[in-house]
Amino acid sequence: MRRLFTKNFDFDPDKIVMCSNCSTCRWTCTSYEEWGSEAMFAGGRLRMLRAYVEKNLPIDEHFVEAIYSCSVCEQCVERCPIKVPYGEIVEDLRKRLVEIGKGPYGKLGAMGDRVFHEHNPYGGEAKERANWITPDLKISDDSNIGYFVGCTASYRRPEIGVATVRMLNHFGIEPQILGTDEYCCCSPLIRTGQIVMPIFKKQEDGSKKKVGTLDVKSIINHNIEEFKSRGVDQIIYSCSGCFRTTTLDWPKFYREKGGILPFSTQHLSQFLAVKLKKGEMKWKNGYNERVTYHDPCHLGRHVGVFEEPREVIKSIPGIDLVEMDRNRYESKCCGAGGGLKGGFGENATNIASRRIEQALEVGATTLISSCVFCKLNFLDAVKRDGHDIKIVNIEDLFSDLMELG
Amino acid sequence: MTEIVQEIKDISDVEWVSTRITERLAASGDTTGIPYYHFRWKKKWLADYVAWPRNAEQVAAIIKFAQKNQIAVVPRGGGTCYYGSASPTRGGVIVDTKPLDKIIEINKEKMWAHIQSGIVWEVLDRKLAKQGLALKVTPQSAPASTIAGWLAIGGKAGIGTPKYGTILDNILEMEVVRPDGTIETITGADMETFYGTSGIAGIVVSLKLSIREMPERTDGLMFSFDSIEHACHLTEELASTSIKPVYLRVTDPEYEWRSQGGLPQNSRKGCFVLVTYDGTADQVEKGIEYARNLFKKAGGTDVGKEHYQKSWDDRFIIEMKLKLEVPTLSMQNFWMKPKNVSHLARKMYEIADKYKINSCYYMVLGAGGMVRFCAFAPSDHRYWMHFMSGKAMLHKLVKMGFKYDAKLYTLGLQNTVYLKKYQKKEYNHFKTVRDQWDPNGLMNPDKLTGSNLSYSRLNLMFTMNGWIRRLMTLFRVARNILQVPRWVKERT
Repeated sequence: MRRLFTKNFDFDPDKIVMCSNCSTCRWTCTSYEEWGSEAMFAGGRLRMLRAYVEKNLPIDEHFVEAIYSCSVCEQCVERCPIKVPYGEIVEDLRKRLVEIGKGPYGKLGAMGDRVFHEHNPYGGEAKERANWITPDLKISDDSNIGYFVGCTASYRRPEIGVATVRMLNHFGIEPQILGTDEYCCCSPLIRTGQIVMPIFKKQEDGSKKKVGTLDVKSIINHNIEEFKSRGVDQIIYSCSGCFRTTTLDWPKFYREKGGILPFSTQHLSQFLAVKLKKGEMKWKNGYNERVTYHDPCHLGRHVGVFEEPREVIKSIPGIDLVEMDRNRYESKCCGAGGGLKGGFGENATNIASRRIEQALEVGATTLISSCVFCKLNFLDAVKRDGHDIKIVNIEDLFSDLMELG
Repeated sequence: MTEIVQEIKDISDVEWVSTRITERLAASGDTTGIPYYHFRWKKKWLADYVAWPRNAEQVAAIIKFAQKNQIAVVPRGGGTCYYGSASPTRGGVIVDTKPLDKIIEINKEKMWAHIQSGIVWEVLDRKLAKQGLALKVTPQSAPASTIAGWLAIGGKAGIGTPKYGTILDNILEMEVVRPDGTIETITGADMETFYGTSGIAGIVVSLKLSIREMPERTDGLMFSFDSIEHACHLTEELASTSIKPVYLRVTDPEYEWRSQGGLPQNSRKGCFVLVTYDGTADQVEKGIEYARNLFKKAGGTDVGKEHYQKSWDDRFIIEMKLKLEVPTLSMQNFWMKPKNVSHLARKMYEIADKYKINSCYYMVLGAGGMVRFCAFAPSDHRYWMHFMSGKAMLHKLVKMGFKYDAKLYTLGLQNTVYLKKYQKKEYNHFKTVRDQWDPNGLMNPDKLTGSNLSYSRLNLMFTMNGWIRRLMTLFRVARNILQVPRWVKERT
């Protein structure tokens, strides 16, 4: 079988032939809904990929575009009768494209550059990573509980970091934060295939000089070793992307070094659900609105956390939680993940806008999520399309209702 | 109001048409796999263009362009056909009907839904359910196939068909674009030229589909039996009663074992019969009681509610679930009387034993008391001899099937080769339709009315393959590459 495949673009054929081309994954696919093209859903991509590798077709920009137009939401895996691990396949494929110099798509490569230089994909200065911390926040340097802030909360939505620490403080926890020693969790890099990538700098004469190699493994190991050296054995996350990556991807990279993760991971919605169950949480105020909950792909489908956020929301006095047409395992992606937001910004906003319309259809006045990236994308859609809906995350809601602000 | 599209002069200027290789590759294949498979049936396996029309006028414009420039038109629905119905054979333009996915009107008084033809069955069903309505019939490929796609392959066996008939029985009116680009609304007998004709008479753009209120209850039961003869007899009985099941499926132990990852402990070794009723609670109860008594009299064993529910929930993905265990599915499906199924099934087992390969089947009750019998040769195409022996077995079954009055259920590209030899009546019908509506032969060429591969060549290839495999088994060098369940050895 392998002999049929081109040497230029060697890709494990066993992974491709698993798909039976039944197209069950098509109509729920985030990118198919946006582009309406058979080259842009899981089954169609695999059909196309197989033709490319078997027929030795040159990798062109359209192929790269089709491969990068996936948000890796894994709705396809959920729908697949035989659970073809499409998310893993597309990530492997992107990694391969980066290795042969054809990927990543468009400006996504800039994320790798920025992480290499400043340890975050937004390009904010590394030394400014902890600037979001306000004087009222209690942070310790000897707690066994850590808080992994993530790049989006550190540089784009600081209110999320503030609300999360206030929430932890409310329960008497003063978490450790790595501050400027916290590096990107590498979720955007792993999703876009930038695992190992040479980094170049443009010279004055226009030529490019290699200045180093981006290596996701070393960044991940840095984060792990930092937490380990500080004695942290439990990390709390406000970002679902960071949570998913730490829980599912970090162990793979760290195992290569012979280790197992020295800490447990917990999303803040899980943390709150535990507090609720133990009777340690009492809401100060109610929220008299009809709300709906958007399951972030990274938290829901990927890790399986569906009920905890709902339990927390339902416990708020006066709240009316309604479900959107597609929820839990069937939840529609917001369009921000898998490099879609970075590579296809307008399309990602269109996708978010459609998800908001589903929330409006069930009469929700507030859309609650528990992922900073989903929130960011939803806010962009609200700003662009003027939807009459409030976008909040669980930690925002907690901070407001508990009057922690 | 639909957009009036001007005549297409230069196709590269049309924004809803693509010439990208990625689009052409992805749209040129279907469930049979990558487009260049079955290349002997095809002169040019890759389409030149992919078009995504959004209304009848755009469909008409692209067809007129194709006629003017003498290029092939391949109508495409969900691309879920196993037999290459929507695969190009002479390049040309693929007319992807999936963007035609709007619900135009739902009439609750007259109980019909006026819809565009490219809507996916599952999507339509979900939208109707929100209004307390339901579809009468759906194909087993409902999660991916489109309304007009099932019409084009002649859908008559699926969920609801034993009770409500074929898809054509449930269509009240159609808006079509003829191969000369004229747009027409047709009803009654005129609609028959679009039923099972793979788009050779034109493209359906919208239709009025009969619907019903959401049934009060849907429930059923599943029994196992000692032999397939029991199942065939019971299928006939259940199809002829006044309370008709909405779904009836018979599977053999290997099929059940592979698709469900195991069998219920108390099950018999012959086959499994799943039957489901819907309607009022009273009707369902009566139906279940009738079936239960019948099954008990026949000596069947109830496999339990849990296994029934699992199998019923899998009704849309049952074929694909075989891939859990085997990398390659080869299948052939027949439209036949239930009483004849046992002959074909036993012949299948006999050949499979001789070839030292695996085989399994399932059958679904369709309209008019007939069944769709699907024979599978689970294999791994990387083991060429094993894979081809499976194909040879299916070829032999086709030849035998005609002796038992079986007709091929889906024709598409691959089965067209059998038409002229074994189904002359159908072949002549398709020829008449083609000659009347598409004299230039541009609409979905090489489907139904002519094949690029001769039957003699195909027959020689598979016959030789069968002989070689027999010799291999005689000399004990034929190896079955798949795990053989205990059930297969013990099946009765």
